[in-house]
Amino acid sequence: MHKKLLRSTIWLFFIGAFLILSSFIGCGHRSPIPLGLSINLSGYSGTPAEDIEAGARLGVNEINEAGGINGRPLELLVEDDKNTKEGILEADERLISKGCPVIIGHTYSQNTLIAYPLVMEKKRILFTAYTATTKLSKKDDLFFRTSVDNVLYGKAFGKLFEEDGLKSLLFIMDMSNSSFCKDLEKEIKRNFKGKYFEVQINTKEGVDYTQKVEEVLAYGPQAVVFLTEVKATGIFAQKLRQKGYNGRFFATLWSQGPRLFEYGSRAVDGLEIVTFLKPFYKDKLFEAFSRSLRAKFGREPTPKSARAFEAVKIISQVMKSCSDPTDVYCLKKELLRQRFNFLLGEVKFNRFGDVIRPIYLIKAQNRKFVLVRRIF
Amino acid sequence: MSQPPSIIKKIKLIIWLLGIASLAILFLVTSYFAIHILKRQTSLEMERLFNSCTNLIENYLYRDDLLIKYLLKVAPAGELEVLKEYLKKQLPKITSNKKYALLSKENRIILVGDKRFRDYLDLDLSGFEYIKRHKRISRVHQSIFVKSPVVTFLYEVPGGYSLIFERDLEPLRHLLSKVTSPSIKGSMVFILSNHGTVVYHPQKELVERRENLRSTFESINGPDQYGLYMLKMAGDRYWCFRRLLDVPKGWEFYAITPWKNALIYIWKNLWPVLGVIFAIFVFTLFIADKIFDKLITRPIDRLSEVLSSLDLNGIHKSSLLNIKELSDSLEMRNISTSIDRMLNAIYKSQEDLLKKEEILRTVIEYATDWAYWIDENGQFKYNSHRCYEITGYTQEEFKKKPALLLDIVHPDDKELFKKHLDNMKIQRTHEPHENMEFRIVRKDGEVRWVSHSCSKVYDGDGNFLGVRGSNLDVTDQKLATLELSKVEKLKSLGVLAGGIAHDFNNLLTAILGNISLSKLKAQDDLDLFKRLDAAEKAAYRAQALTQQLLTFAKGGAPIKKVISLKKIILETAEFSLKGSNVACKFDFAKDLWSVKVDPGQISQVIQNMVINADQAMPDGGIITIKAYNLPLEQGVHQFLPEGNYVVITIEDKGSGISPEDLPRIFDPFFTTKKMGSGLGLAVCFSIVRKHGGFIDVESKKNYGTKFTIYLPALGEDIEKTETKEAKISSSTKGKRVLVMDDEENIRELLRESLIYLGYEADVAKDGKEALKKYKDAREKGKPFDAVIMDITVPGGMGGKEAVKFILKEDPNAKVIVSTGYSKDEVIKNFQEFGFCAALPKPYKLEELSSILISVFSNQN
Repeated sequence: MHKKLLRSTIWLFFIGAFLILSSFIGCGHRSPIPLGLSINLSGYSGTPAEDIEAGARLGVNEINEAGGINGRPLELLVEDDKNTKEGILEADERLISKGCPVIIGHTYSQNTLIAYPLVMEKKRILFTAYTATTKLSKKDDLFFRTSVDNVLYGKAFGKLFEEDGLKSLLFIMDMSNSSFCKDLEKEIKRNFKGKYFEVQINTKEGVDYTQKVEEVLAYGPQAVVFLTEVKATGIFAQKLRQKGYNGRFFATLWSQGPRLFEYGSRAVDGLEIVTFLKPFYKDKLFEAFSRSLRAKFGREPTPKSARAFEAVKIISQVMKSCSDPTDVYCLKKELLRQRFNFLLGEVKFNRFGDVIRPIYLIKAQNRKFVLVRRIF
Repeated sequence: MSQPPSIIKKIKLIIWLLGIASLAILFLVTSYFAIHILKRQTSLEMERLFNSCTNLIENYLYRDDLLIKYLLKVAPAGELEVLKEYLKKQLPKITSNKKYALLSKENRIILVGDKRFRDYLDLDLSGFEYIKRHKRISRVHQSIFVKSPVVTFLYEVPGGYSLIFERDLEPLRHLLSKVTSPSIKGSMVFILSNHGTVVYHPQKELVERRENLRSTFESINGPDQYGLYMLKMAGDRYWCFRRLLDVPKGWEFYAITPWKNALIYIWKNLWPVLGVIFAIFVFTLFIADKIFDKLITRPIDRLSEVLSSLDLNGIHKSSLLNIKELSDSLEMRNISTSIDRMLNAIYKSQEDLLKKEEILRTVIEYATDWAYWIDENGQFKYNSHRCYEITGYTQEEFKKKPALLLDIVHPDDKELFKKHLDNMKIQRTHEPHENMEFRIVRKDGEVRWVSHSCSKVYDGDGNFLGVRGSNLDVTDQKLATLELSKVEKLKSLGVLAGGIAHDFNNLLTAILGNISLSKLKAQDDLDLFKRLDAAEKAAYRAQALTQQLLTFAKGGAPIKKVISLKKIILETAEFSLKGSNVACKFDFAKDLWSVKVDPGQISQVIQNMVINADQAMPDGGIITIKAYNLPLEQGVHQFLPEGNYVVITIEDKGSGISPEDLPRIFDPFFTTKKMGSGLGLAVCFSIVRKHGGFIDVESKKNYGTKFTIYLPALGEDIEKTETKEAKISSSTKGKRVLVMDDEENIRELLRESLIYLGYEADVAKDGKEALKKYKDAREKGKPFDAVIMDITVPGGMGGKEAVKFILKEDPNAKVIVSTGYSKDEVIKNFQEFGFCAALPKPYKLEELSSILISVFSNQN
């Protein structure tokens, strides 16, 4: 009788131990895969990053709802880079220490350049949809981006200006993102044979719009190219028009957002943007994305949220192809090998992790962006 | 065997378990109600917090609202500049907030509250949704003038203008931090925007980095009856109160309390009460236990002690009397009395049982069977002492090693015995299992036959109790059976051999007689004589073989004489070993008893044995032959009756006989020799058995063989008998002999032989003719001195009948019986039938002469 009880107890103990162990093993197997998102969330310039975070979170949610990465959930770790050098490095350090094989970031070329040496040194993939600087082009490294670089933008602008017969340009450059501005200016200049001027501002430090408008007007360019974000672009556009400036306005992807119309009002009508993003995507994928974003985050889709969503989807696809989704070199190999098509058209990386995507000319018209034509 | 659990302990355990279960139920019920009470309190507290927050926010946002409204209501209409001046002057009086702007009808900024914002003058704000739609209060948005989030109030100003007034939300955070959290540890209050981002949170950095907290919600279920949701966030569960704020639009108030901490809170408040209840419970149980112990446990223990101290094997009445004094309670006394009665009954039945057991044991122990009982675990439950007599192993040895039961089985029978056991295993009844006989090897190595019977034993309930078995030593019966079977076999072979030999003997008599006569007539022709001599020798060899057949066939009845065994042994052994490199060593008892045997047959036995011994030692050696007297008591030898015997042993140190061959060496036609007939030892065995003796053989491969021959002794000295033989004389000349034989050639041969030997001879073809001639001769005064008669005459009177008539005619008649059929009883016991001598066919001339001389000598 006692022996029987003892035997049953031993059996129960072993079964229990087995179940506990299996649950631990099971947990180990289902442990989440960390994915870093390092963007500027704080302060004034952090407002657009809410769109980025929402897009990225939506992408992660969709992946996890569909079963995750080979059964393991993807965990989005968001860090605020505070738009400062120290903040950027600290944010990325934290994500690296948490084991993220990939860091999506940063919001601006300038910030990405700051993060680049650290992330490369720690052998992690730095993946961005918001960096166009040519300083990171043609490098066989762990840096990947879905945004086209300034070389292509430079060519597109050059082609556009030449076709339209423009002779003089003025660049309003927000030096808070100097890398991007200088880089793009250089590339445009390389493809433009007319005169060019520049007026520098720094939104981080505050802008004297009246004075800067006077400077612009003093040069009397045929067109103004805004290398600024939406608020500065909008206010400058209004100010210039109020001062009777009739030249053409050009801007970059940086100004491609709905808030441009809040600050620019009717003054931005006719503003032309050279971008790789179409004003709208009339396909089911984009419609579903928009619906989900509205439902879950109460937000309208923006280029920033769409690009974040696309980035997460691309990374998840390559993670699924690797037996170890945290194997950085496997991820790199798969990124270079595969083709991707999520939301914003097909993406194929070259061997340097850069992309060549179609470049469009879009125009602000009646508080909306409309597609004018494809430049490349 | 494990001890069964104590019933008292069981009762106590049940009481304790019931107590603990009651406590657990009490705890669960209390907890359930405590949770509900706490939820209700928490919900109320959270609602109060929500109201406080709402008031704080509204107070903050609307603090200047009424004044501004009033100011604008009384603002001067008409000139814009007047209005501007008015506002510049009055607004700073009611608020320090300078983030406002006066908008034109076209929504262009025409006045700013701070000169730092002059850059924004003339800026068209119609792009902002809340301005375009003239919303009273905007959603939270980025300030137009600074980098902080704001809520903008839009006021209509007389003259078609409007005033936007931004309320900075940064100070609100500071205000909200004054709102206390719910009292339970870990509780907090936070506000999320319509996008889910943190507007207010005790952790400042979450606000700063616009943490989208709603996206970290894993699930939110509810609300329950208290308006609380169950929120799961970052792996933890919370009681959650949430409510939308009226202002700013889209903001949502959250107050959460960690569920785990709520339970801890309940436990902390509950455990002192439960602890007291538990202590009371334990104390009550302790007291109950003591009472139980005093009234029930102790008397039962005392009773148990007394009962366990009783020697149940030796219960006697006096030991039971004290039980009644074990307890002063009526119940215990009743129990004691009942036990007393029960013990008395046990005592009586035990006595009866012991008596029965003693009787049974005596019967079993004195039985010739070896009885045993093996229990269900393969251990001896009982083993009678007969095991020692039969196997040589003691009861203790069997007890220590039950496997001995199988180990002692002879290797050749082991498989059979195992099969027997296997068959029994599948047998399901207690019916006796089939009996079997097998050999065992005793401890001293002796092989014995046992008759085995066994059966399974079950109790009344059909429970298997083991196997009962008994073994009886049947070696003697077994060997006797084997011997009998051998004799039967020999007998049937003898019938065949005897028939053949009889005819051969008749033929050989004629051949030998004719050769003998021919040799007498051919003495001058040396070459012919030699050939006849060779033919005669061949005929004699044929005769010898026929004789062997007859002897083996029992038909060769011994013609016994009292002889000197010593002389026969010496002569035969020496003769048999002529030309051999083997020597004989003799050892005879000085007073060796005489034996009455057929000298020729015994000589043949000795010869066969010696030749075999010689052949067993091809490289030479010594054969030891002994003869001694042996008075044999009843039962000492299994095949020989009580009496005096002369024992002859013939022992060699040769190759020996293999154990497989040993049982078969006396079988007819069994031989291991290339040229052997297989009749030698069979004939020996047959001869000795016909003499009432026996042959034993012992042999060990490569060590040699020893034959022991037992012959019944006369019990007197041989010298005396030899003296009697010496008295016989020989005076036979001129005698008349009548020959009666159905075969003409034998008749004629005999007549010629007798004439050759100097007798007068006449012949008759059957008994009738012989009787007539015998009568006629007597009447004529020329009576026959002897008659030689064949026993069987086909179709006529044989010698056996004729002799009666002759003796009737002449009681002194000398009638010699002669036949080739030596198994006939007549030739063996010729005197009983009236004959005076016997002459087995075939015979030599010399033998004919010898027997006639002998007959006539006795006559004299």
